[in-house]
Amino acid sequence: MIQVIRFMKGYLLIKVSGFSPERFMNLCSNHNIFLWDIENYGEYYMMKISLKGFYQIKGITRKTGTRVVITKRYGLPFLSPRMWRRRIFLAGLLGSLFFWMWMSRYIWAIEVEGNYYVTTDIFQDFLYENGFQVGMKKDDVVIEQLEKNIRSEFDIVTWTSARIDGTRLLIQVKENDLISVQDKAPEKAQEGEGIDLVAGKEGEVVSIVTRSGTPKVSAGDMVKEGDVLVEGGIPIMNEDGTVRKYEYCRADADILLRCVYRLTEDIDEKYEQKQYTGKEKKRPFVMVGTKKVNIPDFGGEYEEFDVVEEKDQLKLFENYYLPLYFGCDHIREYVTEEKIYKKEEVKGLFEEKIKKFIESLQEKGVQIIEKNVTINKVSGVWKMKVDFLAVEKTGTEKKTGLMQIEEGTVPEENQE
Amino acid sequence: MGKELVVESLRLPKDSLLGASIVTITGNMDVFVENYKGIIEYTSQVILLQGKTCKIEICGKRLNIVYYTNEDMKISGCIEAVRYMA
Repeated sequence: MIQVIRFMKGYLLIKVSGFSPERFMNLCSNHNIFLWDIENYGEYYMMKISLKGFYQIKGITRKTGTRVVITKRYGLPFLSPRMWRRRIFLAGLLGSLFFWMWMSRYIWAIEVEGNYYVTTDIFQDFLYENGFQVGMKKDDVVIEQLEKNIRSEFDIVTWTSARIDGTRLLIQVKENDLISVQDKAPEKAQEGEGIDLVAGKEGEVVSIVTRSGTPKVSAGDMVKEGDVLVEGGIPIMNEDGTVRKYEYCRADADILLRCVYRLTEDIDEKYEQKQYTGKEKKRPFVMVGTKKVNIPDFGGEYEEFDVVEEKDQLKLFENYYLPLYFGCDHIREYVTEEKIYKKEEVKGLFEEKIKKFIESLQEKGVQIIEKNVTINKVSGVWKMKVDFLAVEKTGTEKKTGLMQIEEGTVPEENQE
Repeated sequence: MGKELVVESLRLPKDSLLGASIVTITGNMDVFVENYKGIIEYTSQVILLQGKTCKIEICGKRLNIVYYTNEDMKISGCIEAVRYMA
């Protein structure tokens, strides 16, 4: 600690010679001037003295008749003149320090993690619209607001977490895994109202099991879309068989409907295919911010080509991202060839499509009983028509149209 | 002698009242001296100090003064003898 203070204040190595150096030392200590590392070299003495003390010894040297010569300077006060020779280096050092500190106040990379259905592109557009972009100030990032905006913009996102790691804004999201068709909020049955079940598709009723309500159809009936299947009211009869009033309820039933799904697909007989020639060129580039600087290309241009960009962002340590990218464009030449589908190829393509369609139906809980595929070629276009005979559960809730019977009319009949 | 008796019986610190020097020697390397007036002679073989009641001579080889203030000083080197001279 003392060493540090001494260094800060500065001290000197002096050479003392003359008639009586001992007297010089005694006077120094009497004047509270601190001396240390005193060494005797016969004729002269070497000792260290603080800079402040050195300014006070002028009178003492005159009194004692000693000669004092400065041999070496130590400490901070003497450091700056020596550093003056290296001022450019020092300025660079300070400049770079300032530069890093200044740069670390900005966001230089935005990463989104955990998004699957919402693509990164969509996310980036959304962030850009909300003012989040590479190069923005860190202070302008309001994380709570961003998280809230993401959740309200994308319904599928159930959880978000944004944080700043160094110069990187990291957004983590979790999406709802159950992407199933969002059930409409069930219609609220108000007091004194019933809910009907209506057919969602045209077809033939295969079976009906009613838990509550009055069934209006039976197995084997043909129904159209929108037909009432189960009424949300139970009639209460008078003695003569007329309806006295309806007891409203929420209709509930398992109804299986046999219906037809139709799929039609067209494929052009001719198609273009990229045939890569195998020739490839690499063009390295440097990107600063969004500005891309390519190293000039001296070879001839390809007539038709794809460009695949590969880039890396420069970063310092783990999280200090810089707006500097290095990368390489891979330019691949290709030739377009016109081809004609063979029958087997078309069949394969169609089969693929049918498979996908069936999968999507099965996800919805539709059972497929039969399928009829017809494929034919009409003036250079392959056409496919598929009819699926399927059985599915049906019944959508709807407010009942049953009208309550006016109570006033009932007693009249009774009086007769 | 009366002063010494009073100091002794009251158990007062002798160094400050009697002006006695305190010399602490660590091995034969370091000497630590308190209560002295000044240096009379300093060479690399002999350091002669003026105490308040007597002179102290420290003999040895390669004697250095590590620091030197009004109250105390530290000498390092190879110490051979410490002699008190009236």
